[in-house]
Amino acid sequence: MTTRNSQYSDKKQTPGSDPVRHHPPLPDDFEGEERRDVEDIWKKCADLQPHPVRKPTRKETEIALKSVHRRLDMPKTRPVTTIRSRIAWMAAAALILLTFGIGYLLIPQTVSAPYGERATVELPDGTGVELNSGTTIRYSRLFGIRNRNISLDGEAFFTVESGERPFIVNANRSVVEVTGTAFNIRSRSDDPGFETRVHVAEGSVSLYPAGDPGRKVTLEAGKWSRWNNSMVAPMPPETEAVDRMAGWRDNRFIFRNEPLGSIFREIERRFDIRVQLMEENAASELLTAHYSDPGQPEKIIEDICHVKGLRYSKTANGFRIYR
Amino acid sequence: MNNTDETEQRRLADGIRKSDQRAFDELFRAMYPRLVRFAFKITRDWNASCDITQDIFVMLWQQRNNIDPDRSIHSWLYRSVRNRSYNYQRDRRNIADPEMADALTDESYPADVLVNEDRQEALLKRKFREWIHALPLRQRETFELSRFEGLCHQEIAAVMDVSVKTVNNHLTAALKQLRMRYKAYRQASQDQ
Repeated sequence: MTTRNSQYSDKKQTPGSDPVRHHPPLPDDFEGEERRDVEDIWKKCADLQPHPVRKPTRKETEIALKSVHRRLDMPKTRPVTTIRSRIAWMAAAALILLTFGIGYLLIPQTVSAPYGERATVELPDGTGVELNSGTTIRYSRLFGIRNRNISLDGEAFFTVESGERPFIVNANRSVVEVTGTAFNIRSRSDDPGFETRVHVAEGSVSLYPAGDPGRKVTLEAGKWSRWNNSMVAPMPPETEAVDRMAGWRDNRFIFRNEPLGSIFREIERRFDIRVQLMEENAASELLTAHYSDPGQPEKIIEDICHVKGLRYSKTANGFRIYR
Repeated sequence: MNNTDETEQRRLADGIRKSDQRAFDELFRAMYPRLVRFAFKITRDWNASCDITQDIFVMLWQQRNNIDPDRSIHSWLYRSVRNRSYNYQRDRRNIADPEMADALTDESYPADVLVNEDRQEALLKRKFREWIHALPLRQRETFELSRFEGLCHQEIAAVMDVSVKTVNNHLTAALKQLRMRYKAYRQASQDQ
């Protein structure tokens, strides 16, 4: 290793001369790619506090200082309060308030509909959102001021007020973008491939994979599309009867070519029960079903088992399904 | 370490040499927590680390006439705490199970998996901690003094009683090692 840079050679410090200081203290023996890597590593290690993370607190430090004073027979002292330090305190207090204020604004607002229940929310811009069971939406407290972004895990029907700023739903790995319209999104993080399905009742809506707006599919009223992470682009628009788009709002239970696993999970959410599928292979079998108002879950379970050659038994909190 | 720190150190060192108790208190308040943490890394004994650090400050005041304001007072503190911590650890190791200290160190990586933290990120942090811990002792100590205690090369040299060039060599070797490990790690996660 050569010492190309003289500032790291042993320079003797002589009294009166300024000792050589370097900042940042990375050695200069790295160049090009190596240098960039090392700088990256240096940065990554920044908050890797050495173990243990614990340090004596301010109070423990004061107690220790008192004990040192006693050992040295020093008179008692107090932390010096000068005007300057008082200003520093006030500045610190203001900063803490400001931080909490901003922090508060940065904490997202979360609204959930638990299993077996539904919820209706009105967003600050007047947009109405109906949440199906087991659904969570999250949006900034600044919603409507800076942007109209919202994230969704589950299924919801949106009636978006038109506005200058686009209304954007981040649904797992898909993005749905609109200006003013009514549509249903189903995007459950436990569905295979993070599939998102969008049905448009009024106006028009764009659907694209997150981070890839070039693959945008635009849906007019009466159309639907879907995307999951095994697809390059969303499915070209297909027609769907408007009254079937968000059947859950009228207590309907509608499935079109969906895997049994997803259907059982939807039953769990709708009725707040547990459905245990003991036959793993069956989870990916597809099924189409339509109930106008099933009332009880057992009716659906019974039918599914009949069609798929499965059997079921009741458990304390739901059903167990096996071959 | 920057120039403000340096002037600050010199001011406090001057003050203590002139028996200014307020300068002593100020230095104590600023350095005591860091030094206790530093000692704990060597001793793995909280009370002993507090005692050692307090002893060093008592010694500093008793020997204040000998303070050389041209030399970093931080180096002196770290160096004294370090020596005494190693002595303590050596004496105790003769009694206790020598494996103990290392076992404790391995256990004590803080769990980084904070709720909001990206799992990848947390995993990488954990890896970095492991890699730093796995460095040869002198390299690791140099790296930690530089990165975590913020000491400059000259100060580290004074703490560890080696030349500045050796400090530089240790640091370079440590970074090379970390880079190699990080590269291999990235490669492995890409292959998956």
